[in-house]
Amino acid sequence: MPESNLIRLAQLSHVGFIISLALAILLSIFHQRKGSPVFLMAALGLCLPFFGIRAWLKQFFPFTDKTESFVTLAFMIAFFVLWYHKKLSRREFSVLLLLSAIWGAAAFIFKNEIRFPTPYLRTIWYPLHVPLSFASYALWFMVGIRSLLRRLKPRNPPLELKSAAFDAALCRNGFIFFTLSMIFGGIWGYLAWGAYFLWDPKVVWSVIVWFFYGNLLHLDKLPRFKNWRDPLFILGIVIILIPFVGTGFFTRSIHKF
Amino acid sequence: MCNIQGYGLILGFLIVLSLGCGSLVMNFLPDQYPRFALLDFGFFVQPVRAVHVWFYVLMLVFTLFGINISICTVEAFFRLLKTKLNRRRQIAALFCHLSIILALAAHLHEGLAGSSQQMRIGSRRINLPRIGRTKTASVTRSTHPDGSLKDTEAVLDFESANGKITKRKISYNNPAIFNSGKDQVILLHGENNPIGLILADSKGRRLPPLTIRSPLSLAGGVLSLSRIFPAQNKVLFAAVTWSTENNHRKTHFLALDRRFKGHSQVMAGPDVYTFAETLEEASIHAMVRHNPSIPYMLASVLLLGAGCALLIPWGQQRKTT
Repeated sequence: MPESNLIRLAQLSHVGFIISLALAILLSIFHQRKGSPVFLMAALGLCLPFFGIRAWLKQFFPFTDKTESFVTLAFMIAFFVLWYHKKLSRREFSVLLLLSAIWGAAAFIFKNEIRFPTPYLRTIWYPLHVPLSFASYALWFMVGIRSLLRRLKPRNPPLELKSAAFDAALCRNGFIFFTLSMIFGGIWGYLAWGAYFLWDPKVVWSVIVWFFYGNLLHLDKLPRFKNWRDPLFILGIVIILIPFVGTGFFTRSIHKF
Repeated sequence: MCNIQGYGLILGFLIVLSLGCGSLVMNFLPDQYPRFALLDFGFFVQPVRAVHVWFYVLMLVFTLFGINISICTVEAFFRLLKTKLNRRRQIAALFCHLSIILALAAHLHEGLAGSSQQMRIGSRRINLPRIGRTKTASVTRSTHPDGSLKDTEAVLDFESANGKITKRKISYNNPAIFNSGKDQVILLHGENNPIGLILADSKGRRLPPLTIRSPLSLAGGVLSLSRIFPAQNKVLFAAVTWSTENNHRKTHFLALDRRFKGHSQVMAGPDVYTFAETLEEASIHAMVRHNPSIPYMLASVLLLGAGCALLIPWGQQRKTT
């Protein structure tokens, strides 16, 4: 098959991913979430040709450019929404899927071109480092959105207690993924630049994110900081956006897209 | 315990705040901060400058944080000895905190004693401290189908103090590592530079190499090479000068490409010489790095990895609400 047709097929699967997400959201809103997980699974399945074709064409793991990064994050959010869908309320389910669809659709802003990776990206540490950090972003987005919705419409105390335990678990899992991502990124940095730490905006903000969520892990043990939980989880959304979008687009980082 | 943890939490957020401020300062004052800056505390204190105030605050907060986390870790250790409940999670936390203490110490050591130097390593041996004398033996570049660079592989020849010679292949993401990881030679760029040429006479016999340092003495004069440069069409040209004994000089621009027949010949007296081959020298632009904190950074990474592994609730069923 000619390359242009393959690129078109990848684009079609990207469109299919967004449409399936939209259908899952509509079913969640108007049909008590019945059938939503099926469409969500279809959406995730439709991402596979997108990633597969791009990987084939660039002969490397398909999360090296803006389009792929945005779709990967959208995929991760959708994946974790499906994984935890029984624990999420209908409202949380819909809003999180909407967030996933927005990230996925935002990828269309960028020029659809497939470029070969630069020599520095060609290492096994790259595919270990990037998806893990996106997985943690997705989990922390979930916590942030849940906190935001909780602030908008508080629930009764017993439910709040369960909800706090679930948030703590999401936060902890995100922290585990991000720590592993930092370890792999540090090893890669040592091999590529001779240093696991640089005064580079992306690296500095990764340390900030790690410290921030590391701090949040301790909140449950400190009852007097209980009221800080939701505002801090919401602030977390902004803090994640800085390394993901801010440093990638608006700084002179060597990690710039 | 709660108090100490509470202070730790506040110090943690102060770290976040001062790092965030530092990131903004560094980004908005690009002429004050180099783009590719490694952890070197000397940069911030020689001389002390008002613009680095965020760094001095950060160091103070990190010091307090280090003391705080050390106290918490000692406390957690003794608590672990007493309790039998939820031990796995407590061991995980202990490992993570120990790894942070080690990482802080490693960063401090690196910032004070680490060093890096960028240099060109060509075909002449140069001395690298703690590593030995080295030279580049060869450079091979590979490209993607669209012509963009895929990788560069250089073979370096190291001669240790006792005269032992070893060859090491380095490429992007694959440095030459010495002394348990404390010393590295990292490839930044590699290429084969044209340094001279070989000419052939009208009968096809090849002359000795002509380089900038070694002119050719021929019948009636001397042929010298002054420079090699790429033309707009990317073809390499050599500026070659023919000087006779009676001080007559003529410069020819010789195409180093046999496809340009008319331009790849030079007249030296009565004879015509034709370009036969380009002489190249393999060289790399490398970063030579010394970081004495690598062994305990590695220990920190292992502890952190183990801590994370223990934090994962292996085998637990997902509960639904």
